Formats: sequence, C-alpha cells, structure tokens
Amino acid sequence: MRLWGKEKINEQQLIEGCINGDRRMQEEFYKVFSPRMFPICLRYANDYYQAEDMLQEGFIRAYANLQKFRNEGSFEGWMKRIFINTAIEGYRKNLVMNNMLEVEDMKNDLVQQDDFHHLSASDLIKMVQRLSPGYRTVFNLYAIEGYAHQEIADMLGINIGTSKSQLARARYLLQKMVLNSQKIQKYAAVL
Amino acid sequence: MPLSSEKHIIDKKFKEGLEHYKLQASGKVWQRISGSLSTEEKRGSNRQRILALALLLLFLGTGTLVITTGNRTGKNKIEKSKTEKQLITGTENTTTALSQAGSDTRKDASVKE
Repeated sequence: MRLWGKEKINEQQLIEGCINGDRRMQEEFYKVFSPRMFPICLRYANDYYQAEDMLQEGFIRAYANLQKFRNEGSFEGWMKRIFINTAIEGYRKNLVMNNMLEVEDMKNDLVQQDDFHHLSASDLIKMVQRLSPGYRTVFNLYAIEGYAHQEIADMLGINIGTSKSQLARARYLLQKMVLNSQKIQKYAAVL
Repeated sequence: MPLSSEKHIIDKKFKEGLEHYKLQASGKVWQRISGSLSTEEKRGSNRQRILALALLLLFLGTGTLVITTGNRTGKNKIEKSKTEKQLITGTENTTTALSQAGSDTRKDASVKE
C-alpha cells in the first residue's frame, strides 16, 4: 500500500492503471518497482549506463505484458523474471564461455565469513560487474537467483559442464577480489 | 526456480548482500520510458486509424458491390417479367385470333347452308 496524494493505492490498482494507459499510474509503478529492479540490472550489466538501458527496456516490456500477469505467484517475482530475461537476452548470442579451466583447478576456500565485513552492497555489485559477461551471468543466475545448472544451460544455450565451470571460475575471481579489497582496507587503516 | 543445495560462502555472502538491496536510478530513466510509451501510443493510435480506414473502405466496397449486383438482378428480373408478359400477351392474342377465325368459319358455313 502506498500513499498517492490523498488516495491509498495498492499493487492491483497500480497494475490496472498501467494496463489502462494511465501515465500517472505508470510513473507511480516505476517509482515503486525501479529501486528493486535497478540493482538486478546493475548485477548483470557492465556498468551503470548499461544498467539504466536495461531498466528502461525492462519497464517497457513490463508495461506491454502486464495484462498477461495471472496472479500466479508473487508479482515481484514476475517482474524480476522480466528484468532477468531482458538482461540475459542481450548476452545470449554474444556470450563467450571460456571452458578451458577445470573446476578442480580452482581453490574455493580462500575467504572466510569475516572477510566480508567491510564490504557494502555497492562494493559487491562492483565486484560482480568486473567479471566477464559469461561468468557474471552464470554467477547471478545460480548464486543470487537460485536457478539450477540445467535451467541456466537451457536459458543460455550452453551445456551443464560449461555452466558449472563458469560458476567455479566466477567464485574464484570473486574470492580474489574480496581478499584484495581486504588488503587495501587494512593498508588504508595503517596509513 | 529451485534453490541450490550447495551453499558456497561466496554465493551465500553475495546473495545476502544483494538480494534485498534497493537503489533508485537517475530521474532521466523515467523520462526516457515516458517518451517511449508516448511513441508507442502514437504508433498504436495510427495503427487503429489505419485499421478503421481499411474497415471503412471494405464496408463501402462491399456495400457498393451489393447495391450494384442488386440493381442488376432487379433490372434482369424486370426485363424477364416484361418478356414473360409479352409472351403471355402474344399467346393470348393468337388464341383470340384463332378463336375469332374459327367462329367466322362456322358463320360462313351456316350462311352457305
């Protein structure tokens, strides 16, 4: 429920208003959902500007498809799927999957719980953005969104082995980034 | 969307840190979205106009065709009924003439007798 002028409007009213083409409702809908959808775009994009383009594209798709929402599951979940599909669609054809490294070659126990204390959400997003699109997409889909490797393989048109190796490589690189940022933090504290 | 059973520390920490993170994009994104929606609406209304015009033309065309065909059929019917009338009138005249001739012959025969 959100206050809009003197009226109280709920999610259903917002959706109906958007379907009817009410521009004020569409703007309100954007204000409600963009803070939740923009971080998703940031996680999949190379940078802030690409994330803004994804956000714009995702909202236009959402407005065009709102009448297809059947109240099965949460509306936010439905919105997230639109934005994830928008994000990965651009990459699907151009994803370069480096399948050269074996999963076993990489150590996966480099970091501990305490190594994350100094990191904000913004820091974590920047680390994810530094991954190559292939690693980033698989990591996001598996670790954050919770898709299984088979689903990721189907979504991206790759095989399960590739998905697993991309994830392992992404984890390895992220661990190194976390450790590096910790070193920088300690060094800055000494100075 | 099944959740993975494996909980790697990296997965866990990044998920915790980012899952509920909220961030507002710059105001220009809404302006761009609004502009795109207006363009789409214009395209939509143009499509509706074209469709309405096409339907109108189809309706007028069909109407004209029906009227023209109807007129032709009507004319044909009138001509046909005229011909039929003429034929009937002609037959009646012939019958009258024949019966007239028959009665004249009978009159002549009685006069001779």
